[in-house]
Amino acid sequence: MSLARLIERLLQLIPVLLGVSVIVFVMITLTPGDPVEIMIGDQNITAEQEAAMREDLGLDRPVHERFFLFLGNAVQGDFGESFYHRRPVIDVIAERLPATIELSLVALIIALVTAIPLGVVAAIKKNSMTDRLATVGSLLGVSLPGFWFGILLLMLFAVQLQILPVSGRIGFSSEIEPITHFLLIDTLLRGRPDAFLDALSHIILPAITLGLPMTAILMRVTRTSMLEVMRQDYVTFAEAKGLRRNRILFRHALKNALIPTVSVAAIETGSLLGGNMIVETVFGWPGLGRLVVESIFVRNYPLVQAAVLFYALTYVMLNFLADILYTVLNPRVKL
Amino acid sequence: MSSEADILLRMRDVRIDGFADEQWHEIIKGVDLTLRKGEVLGLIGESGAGKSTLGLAAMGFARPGCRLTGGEILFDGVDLMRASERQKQRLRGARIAYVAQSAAAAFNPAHRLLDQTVESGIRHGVLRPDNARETAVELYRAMDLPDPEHFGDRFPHQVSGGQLQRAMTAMAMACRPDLIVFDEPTTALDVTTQVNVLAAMRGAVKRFDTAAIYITHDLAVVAQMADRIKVLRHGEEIEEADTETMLRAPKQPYTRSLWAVRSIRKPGEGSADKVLEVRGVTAAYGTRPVLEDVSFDVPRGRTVAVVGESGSGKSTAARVITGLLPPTDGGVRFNGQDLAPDLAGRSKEDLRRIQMIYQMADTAMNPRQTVREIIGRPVQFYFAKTGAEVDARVSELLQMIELDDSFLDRLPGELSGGQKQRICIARALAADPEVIICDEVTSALDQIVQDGILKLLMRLQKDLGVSYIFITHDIATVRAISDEIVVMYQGRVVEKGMKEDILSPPHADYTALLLSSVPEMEVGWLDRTLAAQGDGAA
Repeated sequence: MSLARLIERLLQLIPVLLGVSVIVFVMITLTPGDPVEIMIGDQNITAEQEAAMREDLGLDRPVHERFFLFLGNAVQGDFGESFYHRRPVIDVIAERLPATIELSLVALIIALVTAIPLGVVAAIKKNSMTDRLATVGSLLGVSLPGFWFGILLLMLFAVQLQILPVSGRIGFSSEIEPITHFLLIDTLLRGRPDAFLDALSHIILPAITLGLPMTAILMRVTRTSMLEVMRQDYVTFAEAKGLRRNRILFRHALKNALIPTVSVAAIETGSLLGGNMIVETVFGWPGLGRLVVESIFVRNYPLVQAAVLFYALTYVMLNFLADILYTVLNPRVKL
Repeated sequence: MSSEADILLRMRDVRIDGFADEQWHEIIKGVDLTLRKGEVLGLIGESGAGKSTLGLAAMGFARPGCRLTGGEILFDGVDLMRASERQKQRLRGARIAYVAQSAAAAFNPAHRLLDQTVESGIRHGVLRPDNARETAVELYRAMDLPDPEHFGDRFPHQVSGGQLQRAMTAMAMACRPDLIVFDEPTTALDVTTQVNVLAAMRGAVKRFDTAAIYITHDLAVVAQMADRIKVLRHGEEIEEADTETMLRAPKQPYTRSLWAVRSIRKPGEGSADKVLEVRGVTAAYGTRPVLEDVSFDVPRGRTVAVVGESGSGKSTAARVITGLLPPTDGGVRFNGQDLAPDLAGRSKEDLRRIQMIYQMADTAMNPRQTVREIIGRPVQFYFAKTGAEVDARVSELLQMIELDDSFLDRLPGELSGGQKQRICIARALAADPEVIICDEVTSALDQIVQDGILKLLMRLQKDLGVSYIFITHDIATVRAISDEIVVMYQGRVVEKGMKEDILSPPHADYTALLLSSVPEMEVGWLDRTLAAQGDGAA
């Protein structure tokens, strides 16, 4: 890909992000509820005190003024202060982000390493028992609501069998000084395999819950496109060349079959962000998703705005990444 | 003359089943085949005769939806019917190679040509990874490919169809096999390209003394390639003889009927009454120019053949005439009046009077509509007829195309290739048009079926006075049906005039090349043509 094309693609981000920020701003302003009232709760305070709070948070100004102020600051990287934490929104988000990224990556890895081989096997053994089980499984995977499936897992493994913890990222006894803030990595870097296993036992259930719908979808896509590719002349032709079955499957068929899988995986990785909000809430995972849910409840405008903008940026970048991967897999496509 | 030891491949009473309509049918019904070392056997017949199925069976291979059920296939003493999958894998690619009809579909789009060319050689241990590249370059050079040193670094989509077909022959040659099965290797190519590919393939086969089975439906091509010819029909052998004898004196009536097709010759007739005039049309797809200053006339009740190789702009000219692609300059006049450049500007009457028939009848019809609906639709649309009137008109149209009312409720899937194209013709006629544009309408059909369609079109022209613009790359079709000819090359008209004038010398350069590239049904034509074209170039 040429540099000019890369820059062009990056410039296309600007209108997207601008649009997203307008939509988020409008939606959050239209949502009923008032942050100040929520903060006051049952406390008795005077009207002057309330007005002072409102002024302090900048909520006394008209909506359009607030929007342009937000936009002007955002362009300079200032997303304002969290109403609730009274600290810059950026700092609060940065603090929670590693937990979410770690969870999403583990979910993604689980999805990829189960979905692709399963999809390939289901395609090769079409209509076999494996294929049928995988098909039914994937139907369940997309249909089961995450909050319900997560609770089910919790009840089985944490409550009944008591082999896995109920919530959190790591046990108290395993807490360590962070390096990368990814606990699975830090525990190893600090030479604490016991803490690593502890962290692993905490992440496994939320990651499975989060990755389940993606696994199901990717498996279906891989199976379908593998079947499609297996019908192509070049696969039959590879047989006529006397190549072994595994070479035909992996070198000739899979590389072409993965093209749709990659683009769907990128889009689905974006949707993991949405899934995070539910899964993190169910499993008490201290990540960005839970923070956003809490912030919506207390109408913490600056934080929600910044977080949604961050989600949008991630989503667009993932698609961009998928396009680049596409050109690697499919030489006929140029960006 | 030759001893048993010379025999490379012997098939005895081979039987193969194919799965269709939920059950197995025998599609190869006990065929014998003997091939000696270094010998080329031509397999010919219509589509569905079982040529490709038999060719693949020579590799011990049953394509998906087929199964080998009986007989024996002895390749150099190994019975491929009973050999294990591992044994067959060791032979395929190494000692028996396959060249497919569509190289574009048979090359993996995701890998470079070089890797694919040498892959089976390396896997079979015939080539070493370090000298594989040299071998490939040598083969590319033998196949006359451009820039042989770097040709293999490209991906399949980056080279032309003719080059790809030659690359596939190079790939088949990589292990110096004893036998190559060529399955219609030049059918998808332009005639001008075909000559070079044929020459390269034959040269390689001779040079390495490889035996070959050459499958084709084109008799003229097989006459250039084969030492002996076997004729197949409905999975059975009709007859077999050496090429010379087979061309001169076929014994069986079926073979003679194959030989006799293409004898249609309509004398060209002119007409001063012009129904359609294409005037100085220049057109482009986006910024890429496709047509430049194209002009020709269509006389009323006559046939204008537009000929040229793929990419010459023939079909684009049709798109301009029908209003699908507005020209950037010039225009189309119809019955002396200017036609609006784009579809939206044309009246329903304008649209009705110019109809189109396509190459692929399969994709030109909605597979979920019955023949009644397909033909009835334009009757309703253009003439606002309903109920019994439509039915009556549809029956009448079916009669015109020599089919009867029993076809009314059939779906396209239940028709043969020729019948499908007939239904498309009836659909065009339903609009009662003055001009029908026929875009390669016979290219996808067998020769015998082609003849039927051409005769039908000629009779309809006589009865109805309709004019045809006949787009084709096939000179035999042009000879058969046209009154006037327009020769196109790279978006321009290089020659136009009455059929007899264009087809007899002197020719414009490109026309000469085009005409001389059409294989003729006689042994030695290829050598003479190559010699003549070589002289012309020199």
